[in-house]
This record gives sequence, structure tokens and C-alpha cells, in this order.
Amino acid sequence: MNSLSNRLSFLARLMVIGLLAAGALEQARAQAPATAAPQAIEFFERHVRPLLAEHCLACHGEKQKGGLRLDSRAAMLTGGDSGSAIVPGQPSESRLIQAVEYHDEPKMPPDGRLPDAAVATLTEWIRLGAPWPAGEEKAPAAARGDAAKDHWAFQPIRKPALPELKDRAWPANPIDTFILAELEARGLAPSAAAEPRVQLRRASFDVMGLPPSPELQALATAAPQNWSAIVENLLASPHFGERWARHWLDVARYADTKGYLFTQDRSYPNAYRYRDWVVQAFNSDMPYDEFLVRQIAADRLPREQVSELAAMGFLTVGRRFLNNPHDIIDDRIDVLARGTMALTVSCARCHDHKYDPIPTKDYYSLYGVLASSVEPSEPAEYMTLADAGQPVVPHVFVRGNPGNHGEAVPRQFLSVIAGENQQPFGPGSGRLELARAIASPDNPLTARVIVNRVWMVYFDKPLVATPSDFGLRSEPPTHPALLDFLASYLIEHHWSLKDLHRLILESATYRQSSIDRGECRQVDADNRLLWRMNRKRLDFEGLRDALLASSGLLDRTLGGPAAELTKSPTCRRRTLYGLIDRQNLPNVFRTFDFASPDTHAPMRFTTVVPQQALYMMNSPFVVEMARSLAGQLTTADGADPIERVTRLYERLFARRPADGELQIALAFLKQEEAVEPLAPAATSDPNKLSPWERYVQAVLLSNEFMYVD
Amino acid sequence: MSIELRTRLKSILAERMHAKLDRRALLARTGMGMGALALAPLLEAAGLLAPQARADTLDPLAPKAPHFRPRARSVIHLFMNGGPSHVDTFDPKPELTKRHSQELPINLPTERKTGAALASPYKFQKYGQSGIEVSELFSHVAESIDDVCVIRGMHGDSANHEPSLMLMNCGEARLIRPSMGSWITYGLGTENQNLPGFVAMCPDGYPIQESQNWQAGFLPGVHQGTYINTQFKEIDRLIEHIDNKFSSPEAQRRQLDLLRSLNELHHDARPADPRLESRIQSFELAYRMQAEAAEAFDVSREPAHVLEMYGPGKQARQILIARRLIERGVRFVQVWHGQGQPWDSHDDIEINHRKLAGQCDQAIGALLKDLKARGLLDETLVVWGGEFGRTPTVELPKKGSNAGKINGRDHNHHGFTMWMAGGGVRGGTVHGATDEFGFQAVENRVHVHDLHATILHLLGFDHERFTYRYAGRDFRLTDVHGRVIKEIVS
Repeated sequence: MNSLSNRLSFLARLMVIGLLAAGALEQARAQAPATAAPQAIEFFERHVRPLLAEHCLACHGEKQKGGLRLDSRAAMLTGGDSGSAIVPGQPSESRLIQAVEYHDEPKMPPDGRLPDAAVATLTEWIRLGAPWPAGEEKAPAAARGDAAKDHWAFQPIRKPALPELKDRAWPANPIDTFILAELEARGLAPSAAAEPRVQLRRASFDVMGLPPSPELQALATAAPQNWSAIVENLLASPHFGERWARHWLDVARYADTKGYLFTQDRSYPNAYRYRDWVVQAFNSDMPYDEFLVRQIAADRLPREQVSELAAMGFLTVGRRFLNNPHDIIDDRIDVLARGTMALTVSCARCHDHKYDPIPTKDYYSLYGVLASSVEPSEPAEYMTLADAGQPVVPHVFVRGNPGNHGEAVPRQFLSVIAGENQQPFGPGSGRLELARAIASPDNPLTARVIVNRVWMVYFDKPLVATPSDFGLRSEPPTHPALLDFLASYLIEHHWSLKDLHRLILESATYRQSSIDRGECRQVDADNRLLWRMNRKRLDFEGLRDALLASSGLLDRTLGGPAAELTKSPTCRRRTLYGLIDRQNLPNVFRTFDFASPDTHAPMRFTTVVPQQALYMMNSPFVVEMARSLAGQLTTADGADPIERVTRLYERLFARRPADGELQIALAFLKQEEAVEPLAPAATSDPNKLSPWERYVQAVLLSNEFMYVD
Repeated sequence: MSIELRTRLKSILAERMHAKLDRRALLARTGMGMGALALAPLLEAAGLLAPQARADTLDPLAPKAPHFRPRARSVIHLFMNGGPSHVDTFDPKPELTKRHSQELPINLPTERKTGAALASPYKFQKYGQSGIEVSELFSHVAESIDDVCVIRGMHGDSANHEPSLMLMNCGEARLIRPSMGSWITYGLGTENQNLPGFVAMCPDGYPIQESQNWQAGFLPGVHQGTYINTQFKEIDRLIEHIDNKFSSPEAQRRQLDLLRSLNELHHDARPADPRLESRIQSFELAYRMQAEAAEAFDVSREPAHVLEMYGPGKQARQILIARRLIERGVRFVQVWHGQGQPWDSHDDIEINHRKLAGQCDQAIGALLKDLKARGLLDETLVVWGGEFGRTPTVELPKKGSNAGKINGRDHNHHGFTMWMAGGGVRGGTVHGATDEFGFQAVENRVHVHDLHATILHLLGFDHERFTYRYAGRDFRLTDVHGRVIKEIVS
């Protein structure tokens, strides 16, 4: 092996010497790389670049271990954390050579010394002045800057003109115009409107997270043409705020506990005040810009009541990371940046963002704002923040290491949005200025991000597939013009979210049937173009609340401290009010894809696993719901099974059972009464369900209950 | 659940199996296309369908292939939480005996102050063909030493329990990241849909850092480890909602038949939605799970000689359960020694380590032999170790931390031992070494990231390509670190 590598080394030297004899390379040494001799470039391309690619770039390319890139001459000269990697012309002064020679730490590559020949090649290359082909010297950051300039999400929001349509009759509002234009472009037509009861059930779950009340059912049946009145009725319900608060709490990584701490008390006894504030804000249709500003800087705004400070829970209900202040701040930067602007700023904690125009400096500008914000030390009712007496002058932490201070940066807004207007924030922490910059109508991201989140809930799919990452690597929107229309609509309507909800609910797009159409599926199998409505599965809250509501047991009280959902006796409050123990979330939450409260959750997963079925079949909760529902129908309607089954269908699905369903029900009940009726009370196990209860439970387990057409 | 009930459940299941689904009829109902094929693994696992090509799936736990041919199919991670002392178990240091009570030339910072050298109170001897030395604490494990690769050059990043547990389990000391078991079930799915894919067993309660040790982080929640408190023996206290208390098995079967009829009517009117069929099947799977899970956790079904081989106590029971789970296709089983941090012997190490090893040595030894006898060791990777090791020096007395005693060892992340067996690991070998006292790894050092890279490699993954896109980044178990230790792969 030794003799082989010696031979190789010898060959490398020979070859280099041969090139030198041509006289060109010596010349190249002193020259700028752009004018390096062709022979030098050829030497680089044939021998050096492959070496770098094979042995170095996996860690020192895009990944920049140790802050070092070896994929351009400029990057090598700039070097990493410990300085320049090369000194052209002076191999012995070059850290690159010191590392590959393997005498001292760091030894590179770490998994074994390069063959002598390779070391010799690199040494010669540096001795020759490290020639590199011209035209590759563009710094990566500049390259990012260029791509970013054209990236859709960073463009100002402009209200697009309505497209021309062939079918002018179908659209109920501009949403439909944008949707239909795309459908027509592919030769597709939208689906017919769903039956009124289907529309009502859909809207009721979407707006309130609950099945429709009998009163609304009556209204919908009596006057299906009066959809606007139904929409208004739903949006006016206090349950609207409860339902949509939960969506926002996913964004805000809400929990009632701090996460793992060894000895300290882990609860956030007042976190619920933030949750209740969000419910109230949605119910009162607080403008979204104000909604954001208050959550970031309520302490800096004039207040009528101290309870307005509850809004600050947005920043403060995160995990406590064993009280590591840097990680707490990182979590807050993340919830701010991804939650409101779909920017993955946290990626810039250790090095400039790899893909998006977010330099590390910007991360530490925001870090400075949050590090200058402290939690009042006295126990308070609200989890608020206040500006520190003396604001922090943030420094970049080199590679995210708080022990390694880099340059000082001002507390200011992100350069990608502020552009040339980037100005240091004034006195104080800068949180209020930060809040206003986020909630500004000129911010290209904020309005787009929230309309995309709202759209996602209604249609089960967002317009931008990654709702918390609008960066350069995200997929563009399926309907860019519609996204911008909705964003400008929101801003024009003084950031009224209820106006946005209304617009969506009243669109013909939303009211379509969800039934498959083979000819459309062949063109657009994923229904990205919305030629029909998407069928939605109830989430955990929707399922549990629907079970409680259907069985008449739901406690509709609004707000208040968290309640444990899995303890006995059964908690009858809405799932929103369940205690979220971040550290030890009850299994049933995970089983049904509840948002992880560890960090900001962009969207829910929807898995289908047998543990969900076990819960439906065997949990005391579901059985209790089935029993209650069965009992109510029995007392109300006596013994006639046809009547009871009919009432059950009307109650759960707002329709009469089909003949087939009725026959199945009657056959089942008859069979069960014959095979396994309840034994006489004295010998019977009080736990066991009666045939009728078993039937009712099966209907609660059905797909019709779990899915919303 | 009583034996009689279980038997009835089984016989109902057996009857059902005759009525296997007609694949074509199924595809017709789900509206054809690829969506319907998504069901295939689910149904296949349930034995309801003949094996067929697998498509990407609605069920996140359906079996999937890794990057290349794996050496191991499943993993048993025996977690000696608290930190077992390597110099008292698998890394003999005669120099410590020579210098007992003397100051050593090296004393690295650990959690607390330590003083002079503390000789191991235990006898070491050579075992097997390989002649690897093991202390009397693990004499049963030592009988299989020729199947074991002892990694003596381990090192980590922190001398504290919490960050070290997080590093060992999730590859990251502070921030929220998925655990290794979650990554593995995310990447491979699991072979038995009637059991959870990732099981974390710990008797009497949680280890410290609690459920974060088996968290799914940003992966779907189904990949989170299912925690089983193995202090219990009754199935309904081991797995939530596994026991049906409200209907007889026959009545539940008829109820599910009713459900299926209703769902089929519903589905017929809503073609081409594979989720509907998938949920229909999930009830069938759940029904089967009731019988299968109960059986898997019931060690009383083992013959007497097996029970005897594993020995008495909770450790033996949970380690035997681990084998039963692996045998049934569970992907990743983590077996924690106990609630809190039992191996954390800051004082009275001689008594405490002897007691702890006494609780698990026989069962771990039995596990290795048992897996081998069943032909399972080749495809099962057994990993043993704590979150770190312990100092070769004695911990100095301090009120409130070691009861003022001077007979224990502090945490040590500078150097410690883990071992692996089976699953493509080169048995009868020692990899790496600590210095002559056992204070720090000096030769063929293996960082925890390297261990993870190697475990993933044995399971068929290139750890650098095994990524998950979240928050704008492609995350890995090994972050930007990790090197496969090729030398220990057979």
C-alpha cells in the first residue's frame, strides 16, 4: 500500500513538474484566478476538483461544517470558524494542507488520511496559487439574493384582475372565478352543489367544530336558498371562536405545561387565559393585524383592561428547555417567524439560511428583541413580557454557540422584507416595532400566510402546500392569483377574518359536492384544482366534540381553566378545554394525530391506525356516549325500532335511513334479541351493552360519522 | 381478559380467516387506481390478502424497504438508565487496582468533583473463544461474548443525564427531535400491524426525561413509542383500550359485521376514496389486535424451561416480552431498567451495581441465547448501554448528592462502553479503547452519532440520505454528524 501511494505521489509530482516545465503555472500563481492559465485550470479540474468533491464537499459544501465551505475559491479564502482555509502559494500556511497532512487536530477527512498522492496534489495546487476557473466566484449569499428577488412569496401583494370565463353563471363570488378559470383551462367543470343538509353539516363542523343544531337543520331544510343566513348564524356562534382558536393554538404550540423540568413545578396555571383570549378575539372578529400586534406586544399598547396582557401567551407558552434562555428565545423566534410569516428563520441560528435570504445576522436581530424582553418576576395572572430596563445589544453567536461572539447587530426587522428600509428599532426592546412590521399590509407574507391557513381548514389542502414555509424550496401556490386575491381582500376588509370566512363559505367552490367524477379524476387525481369538494375526516377535537354533542352530553360552557380529559368521571367539556400536558400528552391525543405541542405545528397528519379503532370500540368514553344516545332515543320514541332508527339517522346525519340501512338495522336488532339479549337484571353484567346500544355504537363508529362530505 | 374469552376470540378469528377478501372485488369497490393499492400492506399484514406489490400507503406503519439490503430487521435496545460503570462491567482496568486510592494523572471535569482512583470491586475474567474480559456482574452475558461486539471507545457530549439521554435517544441534546425508534418505524414501518411498531417498556413509571425519550418530534404521532409499564401483568393495564369490557367477543364480532355493512353502503355511494376502505379495515385489524397483543404480552405461555432460563422478576419478564414482540414483527423495542435512573450509583456502587446487574444479567444472557437458538439473532440487533458511563475516580462526598459517602462514581461521558450483538455486528470483538484508567476514549473513538449512523446502516439506511423535511430543512437522526463504524460490521 505504501509503495503504491508513493508511486502515485511520485506520478502526481511528475505531472505537476511537467506542467511547470511549460512555464505557465508559475505565472498563474500571482494572478487572480480569473486569469489563471488554462493548464492550471485543467490541473484543477482533472485532479483537484474531483478530490474536493469526493473527500470534502459532503461536509464542507452546502453543509458548511465548522462554518467552512470548500466549494469555491472565495469560500476557501473566507474560511470557517477558525479562519481562512488556504493561503494561495503557501501550502504550509494553509489550514487545508495542515488538516490533510494529519499531524495535528483537526485531521481531515475525519474517516482516514488521504493517500499521499492526494495530499501532494492539494499541496501543489495551493503552491500554484490555488487556481480556480473564472465565473464560479459568485458568493452563495449573492446567488440566493438573486433567486429571492424573483421568488413569488417576497413579491408585493397586488390584487389580481378577475380572469375571463366561458361559464359566467356558476361563480357566486371571485373565489369561484379564479377556481373556474383554472378548471376551464384544463377542460374541467365544477361539481354540482351538495345537498343542503350536506352543506350544512360541512359548514357547521368547519365553522364551529360541532354538528349543526336542530334549529339550524330546520332553517336549512325550510329555506335552502337562504345560505347567507345560515352562514351568518354559524359565524355568530361563540363556538366559532372555540373552533378557530384551536387552529391558532396549533400554530402557537399551545400547552398548559412547560415540558420537562427535573424538579420545578411544570404547570402553566394561567396558560388558559391566553387560550380564552384567542377565542374571544376570533368571536369579536378582532382584525388580524391587531390580533398579531397584541400577541407580540400587548404590554406596549395602551390598555383598557389588564386582561389584554393575556394575548402575550403566544410568545410565552412554549417549552422551557430546562430553562436554557437561548433555546427559549429560539422557540419564540420560530413561532413568530414560521407562525406568522412562514419563514424558517430558525434555520439561520448557526449559519446563513441555506436556501432563503435570511442571514444569521437577521436571526440575532430578532434574538436581540426577544432577549430584551423579560418575564415579570412576580407571579401574575397573565403570561406577559415586558421590556428589560436596558435592551440587549445582540451579537451573532458563531455557529450558534453563545460562547463564541461574532459581530454586534442592531435589533431590527428581517432584511428580506425590510429591504433597503431596514432600520434599527428605537428605544426599548423593539417588540412593538417588530409586531407592526409583521402585521403591516406591506409585508408580503403575513396576509398570504393567514389566508392560506384558513383555506387549508375549509378545503383540507392549502393553496401553498407548506403553510409554514413559503421559502425558496416551497412549492408555488396551486392558485397564485387566488392567493393574492384573498390576501388583498383580507387587507382591504380591515383584516376582518370573518369577512374572509364568509367569502369562502358563500363561494360555489365550497358548496360543491364531494362525490368523485371519474373524468375529472383522470385529469387531476389529487383534486388540486377543486373540481369537487374534498371529503374531510374529523380531527380529534371534532370527533370527541361530535360524540358529546350527538349524545346530548356536551357542556357548552365557554372558557376557564383546563380540565383533564382522560380522568373519570368523564369530562363533558369541549376538547379545546382539555389539559395539554406537553411532556406527557395522553395517548389518545397522539393516536388521533393531535398537533404536537412541542413546537409550532404547520398542519395535522391524518393517519388511519387500528389504535383509533380500538378507542372507538372499547374506550369507556365512546361506550358512555353510545349509551347516552341510545337511552335518549328510547325514552323519546318508545319501543318501535323503525322510529328509533329513523330518529338516530335524523339526529346524526340529518336524513332518514335508506331502505337498505333500515333493513340492516332491523335484522341486526332482531338477531341480537334472539342470540344475546340482555340477561335478567339479577345475573346480567351491568357493563354489557344491550343490542340497541350495540347498534347505536356501531353507527357512531361508522365512516359517515367520522367523515364530512 | 380471561383465558376463556381469549380462546373464544381466537376461534372467531379463525372462522373469519376463511372468508378472505377477494382482491379484485375490493379494488372495484375502492374505485381502482393506485389509491386502492395503498391498502395492500395493511390487508396483507392482517392476512386478508395475498402478498402483492406495495404502493405508498395511507398507513404510515406499513412495511417499507430501506436504502439497501439490511443486516438487521429489528432492534432491542436494553437501556441501563442512570449510566452503568464501564470499568466495573466490560472495560477492565488493572491500573485502577494498582493505583487504588491514589490520585491519577488525569481527572476530567464531570458533573461533580471526583478524587482518587477507585479500583473495581468485581472480578474480571476471559470468556469464549475471543477471550474478551467481562466482570462477574455480567457473567451470563459473558457466556455469549463471542456474539457480542464490545464498543469501549464510546463518548458523548455532556455529563448530565437529561442531555445525554436526549443525545442517545434522539441524536440531539436539547431541541425537540424524533427518537431513534420513531425514525426507524418511520423509515421501515413495522411487520405486524396488530402490534405497535415501537414499544418502550419501563417498569414502575418513566425514566427521567420521561416520554421525550421515545418522542416522535415532528414525525407523525403514530411513530411515537408506545409506553408500557411492565410492572403490570394484566393486558388491559399494559395497552390502552385493548380489552373490550362492554360486549362479549361474539357480540363485538357481530357488531363489527354490522358496522362493515353500513360502511360498505356508505362507501358504495362514495367511490374512489381509499381512506374509507382503509378505515373499514382498521376495525378488522383492531379486532385481531385484541387477541394478538394479549398473547404477545403474556409470558405465561412460554414453556417452563424458557421461563427458568430468563429467571424471576420484572427484568426477566420484560426482556422475555421483548423477544416475543420481536418474534411477532415489532420493529423497535426499548427496554428500560426502571423508573428514574436506577444505574446512577453515586454512592455504594458495589452494592448497587451488584443488585442492578443481578436483576438483569441472567435475562439478558438468556435473551442472547434464546434469539440465537431461534435463528433470530442474525436479524435482530441487540444494543446494550446507558446514556454514559462512570468515572474511574471516586466521587467526593457532598451532602444531598451521595449521602456523604466516598464509595461511588460520577457520570462520565468522556469514555464509556456499549455493546451490540446480532443483526450484522461482528461478534467476539472489542472496538476502541479508553485510556489506561478508563477516563476517556482514546482509541477508535465512537461518538453517539457514530453509533446511530451504524445502527441505521445495519438496518439498511444511509444515515445521510435518511431525511425528513420539516420547517424548511431536511432533518436526520445524525444531524450533520455521524460515521458508520464499518469495522464492527460483519
